[in-house]
Amino acid sequence: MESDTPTIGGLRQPDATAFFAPSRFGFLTRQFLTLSQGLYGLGRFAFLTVSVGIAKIFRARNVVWSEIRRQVLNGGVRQIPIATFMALALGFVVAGQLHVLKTVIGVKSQTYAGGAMVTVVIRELGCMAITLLALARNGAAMVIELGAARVKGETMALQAAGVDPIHYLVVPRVIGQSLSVFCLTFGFNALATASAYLFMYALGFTLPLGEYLDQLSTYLRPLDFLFLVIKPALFGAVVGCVCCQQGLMRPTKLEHIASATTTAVVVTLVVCVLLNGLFVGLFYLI
Amino acid sequence: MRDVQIRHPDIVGTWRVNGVNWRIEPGDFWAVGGLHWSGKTNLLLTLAGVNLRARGALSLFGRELEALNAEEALRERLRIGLVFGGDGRLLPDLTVAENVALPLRYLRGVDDKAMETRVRQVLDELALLDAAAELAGAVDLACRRRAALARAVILEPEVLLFDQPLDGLDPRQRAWWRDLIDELHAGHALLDSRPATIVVATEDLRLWRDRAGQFALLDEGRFHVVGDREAMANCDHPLVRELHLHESTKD
Repeated sequence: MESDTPTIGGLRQPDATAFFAPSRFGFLTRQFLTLSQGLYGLGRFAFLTVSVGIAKIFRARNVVWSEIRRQVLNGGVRQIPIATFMALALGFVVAGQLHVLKTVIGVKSQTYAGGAMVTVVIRELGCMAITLLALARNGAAMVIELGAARVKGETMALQAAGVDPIHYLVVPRVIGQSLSVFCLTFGFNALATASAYLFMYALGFTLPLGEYLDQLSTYLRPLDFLFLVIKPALFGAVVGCVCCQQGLMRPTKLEHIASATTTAVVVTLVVCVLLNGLFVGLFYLI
Repeated sequence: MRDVQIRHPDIVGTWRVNGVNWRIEPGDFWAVGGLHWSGKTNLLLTLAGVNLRARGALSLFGRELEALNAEEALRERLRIGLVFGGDGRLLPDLTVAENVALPLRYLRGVDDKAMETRVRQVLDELALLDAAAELAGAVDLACRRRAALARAVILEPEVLLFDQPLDGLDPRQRAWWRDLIDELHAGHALLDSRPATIVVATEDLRLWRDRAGQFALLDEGRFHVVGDREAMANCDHPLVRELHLHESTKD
């Protein structure tokens, strides 16, 4: 029986799920194996990308850096308007919810403003919202672009011309996404925090700016600053890596690209949620 | 190539061409005939060093590919240029000039001025200067095909492999390509006037019967070396008749 199995970078994914009968137990087992295989394949692809990135760190630097700049321009700079809108909207939502709380517990609600911003926006939602934005705006486009390049034989043509597709196509995308998500998350958190204060002011809160900043600094722990760097950079790399893997490894025909795009979105979400859980666990353990 | 089996690039466990025993000498001009989907592109990719071998041995310029480390293998591979047919397999979001310059920038790391001089020279020789700043995805088929040739010759390879270079082109373009390939074989300014070894894969051997010196066939997954023009004229392989060579000769 023939199976369409990807081969770029010499990676293949065996279809172990085919051995299980279509029973209820078989269904669950197949789902588990599919997930395990997917994560294993992603792990191998990520390892290959990191290996190539390190091994060829000094090769074709001008070409790779210009590709990274292009990725940062597309994945970061061009997303600033929508990220700004989302940050303003999130600040308004938090301020609005505090205003609702104010009608229940009175003026005391403004003492929770800094805590709400740190625990909800800075620790969790900011990074996740930007990751989702990167996935929707760039990740999906990346799968389509690379999938079409693979189907049309452009990646093979690069190989024939002596250009390593992993080094030229994947490494800059992963680094570019990582940098973009990191920078956008930083700006997003700052803007959402500022806009929440402005909206609270507009809604009639009497919270002095100094007290708001004191609240923020009280709730922020040293570990937050470390995670504020690591988490967005890692999530951005996950977006880049999963989307490149799905684009380059899966489609062998044009009609495969749509399902590869859907899979990329789902896998990225699953991996980011799992990693987020890991970060939450680490945060409360350390 | 010794007893090479070429696998399908995407479908695991299937092969496209089997039993390839083929020796190409410097200065040869080969025409390889085969029907659609007979494995011509995969044969050329394998010859260009892109690893599609399921088994067998491949030597490039007398050196066993397996015995070379990655850097040495790449160096030998770069002595071979592959010109793709169809739309030339260029990157559509780069300009024609950027596509042509890519191997030079990636592999040689030459400075911008030297690169620009070389790219301009190649584009000028191939009458592509007007299209240089256009996106590769936006230019016509003839331009894309020439740009694919420009990308292949930019590193001045010694061997040029052409995958159906005349497919889909009008008679004027066809004549231009055939003349240029003859010139490349004899020695052209694009390759510093060094004679190139040429391999052309085609579905229509008639177009190459007076130009190529050696012939081979790809038929039902098998590779057959026919020999020189005389051997080709006397060849009774059914595929030769199917590729219209004999009928056309009589015409």
